[in-house]
Amino acid sequence: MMKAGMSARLSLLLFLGTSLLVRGDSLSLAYNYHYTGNLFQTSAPVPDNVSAFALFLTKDSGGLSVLSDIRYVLFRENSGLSFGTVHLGLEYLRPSGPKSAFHFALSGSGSLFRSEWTPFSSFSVDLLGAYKTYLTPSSILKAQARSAYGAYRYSLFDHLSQVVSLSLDKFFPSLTTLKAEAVWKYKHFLHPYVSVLPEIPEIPAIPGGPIYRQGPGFIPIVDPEGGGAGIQSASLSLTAAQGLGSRVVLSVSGLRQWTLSGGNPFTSIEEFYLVPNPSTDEFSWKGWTVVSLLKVLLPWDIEAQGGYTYAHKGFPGIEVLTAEGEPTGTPRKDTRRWFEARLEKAFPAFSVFLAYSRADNRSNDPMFTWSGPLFLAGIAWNLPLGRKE
Amino acid sequence: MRSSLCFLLVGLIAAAALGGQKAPGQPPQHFYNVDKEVRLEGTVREIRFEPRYKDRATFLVVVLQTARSGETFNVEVSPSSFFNQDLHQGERLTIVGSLAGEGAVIARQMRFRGETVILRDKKGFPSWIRRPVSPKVKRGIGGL
Repeated sequence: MMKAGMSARLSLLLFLGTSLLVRGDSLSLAYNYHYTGNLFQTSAPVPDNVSAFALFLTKDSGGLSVLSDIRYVLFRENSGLSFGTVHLGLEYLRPSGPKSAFHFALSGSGSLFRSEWTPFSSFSVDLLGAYKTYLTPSSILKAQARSAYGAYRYSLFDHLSQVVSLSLDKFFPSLTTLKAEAVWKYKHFLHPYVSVLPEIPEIPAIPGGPIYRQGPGFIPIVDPEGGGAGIQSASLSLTAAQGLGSRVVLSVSGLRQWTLSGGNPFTSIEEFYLVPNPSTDEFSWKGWTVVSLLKVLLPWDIEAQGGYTYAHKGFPGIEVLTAEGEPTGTPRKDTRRWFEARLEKAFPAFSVFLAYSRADNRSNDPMFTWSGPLFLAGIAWNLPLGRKE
Repeated sequence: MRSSLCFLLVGLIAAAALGGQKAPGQPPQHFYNVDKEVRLEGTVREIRFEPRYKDRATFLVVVLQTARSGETFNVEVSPSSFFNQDLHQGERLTIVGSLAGEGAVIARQMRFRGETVILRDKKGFPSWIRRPVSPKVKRGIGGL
């Protein structure tokens, strides 16, 4: 299961990322503090305090940019979950007339987890191509395609994925913006099955969780024949935004996602706060979401934002489990209400923000019925390194 | 081996020396001058994507008509903003920037749709940070 050479690839990314400091154009440093009331997002809440440090570097030359992003996320109570990521990317912006441009990006990233969470350590490569054009001065068409390959220490999560999207928006003199977006996506797990269950790596049990949760709750499917498995989805979203004067914007967006074929090739999936848990992502659900957002620019240019999200999701292939971890035959369905409020102030050299949110998740699997608060505070500095123009 | 290193060194020096050159036709006063800083509020009349500096990506340029006097300015925003911000003709925009020749402004800060975008620091040094494109980066609230 352990991938030889993964550490070498991560070291190379770290070296290349930090070497950008020598010739970087701009540098941004960020520190965010998080308090979550439910780190593992289950009915057995585990609160934690999290510190997240980040460093971004960019170097531009012609239409080509080199981007580097180095992060470290430190969990105070569940320190074994602390992880670091290095992301290095090349981007190329190619004009296609005065109203259009192509954008290409190639990036590699690595995540390194410590001790018992090393199964989440990964290396991935992303390739992106996008085109943006003004059909009319008040209407924008965007097309984008992204391919990714991810290799994990615990190779059950190894995958290839494709996402293709097309969006069209239109701004009206009444300060109304309408936007429609269609997305097709496919994720292929290369070898998600195990021949026998004992191959599951030892991961610490969630304190207070049911007996079968010997770890993050992830349970693979036993299939001695192995092979790959895919999940194909399509989504359609509509957004309406209305400006009220020059300082207030109200927007509402609705998204419907269908699973066209396949399903999640696991017995269970889970979502952690702030941790990229490879068993669940944008591919793993079907259903719909509605997001409403109010943005207000307060005196002294302080940005205030309040949002409410309602999401109803099913997870193809995933069933409600008994306390012992046995499938019941009932597909798992979750309904989540999410409230968030945020204040942000941008100064010329740095920006600060405060945010509070509260989630209320109801699931027909009692393990995933939970609610909890989230508090966030952060500061980010922008430090120019290049020449003045 | 030694000659290769010399060539590399000469190449790097030459690249550094040429790095700050302006594009042909760029007026000599085209730089961020903190003594000529202005604040403009108006409506976007036109959006263009055009080269501004040698060895730099093409810039987003917005033609802004001010609400107070009706004057129009060519506002130079940043290279990355063409893809990152979806500006439309008719949108209201507030700019803080430096006058850089006849009817030209280099933007330091841009405000539209209730959001403020910082493009340069107080002295005019570029600070348009672009985050690497990755689905993982988007996970979690708060950006980190």
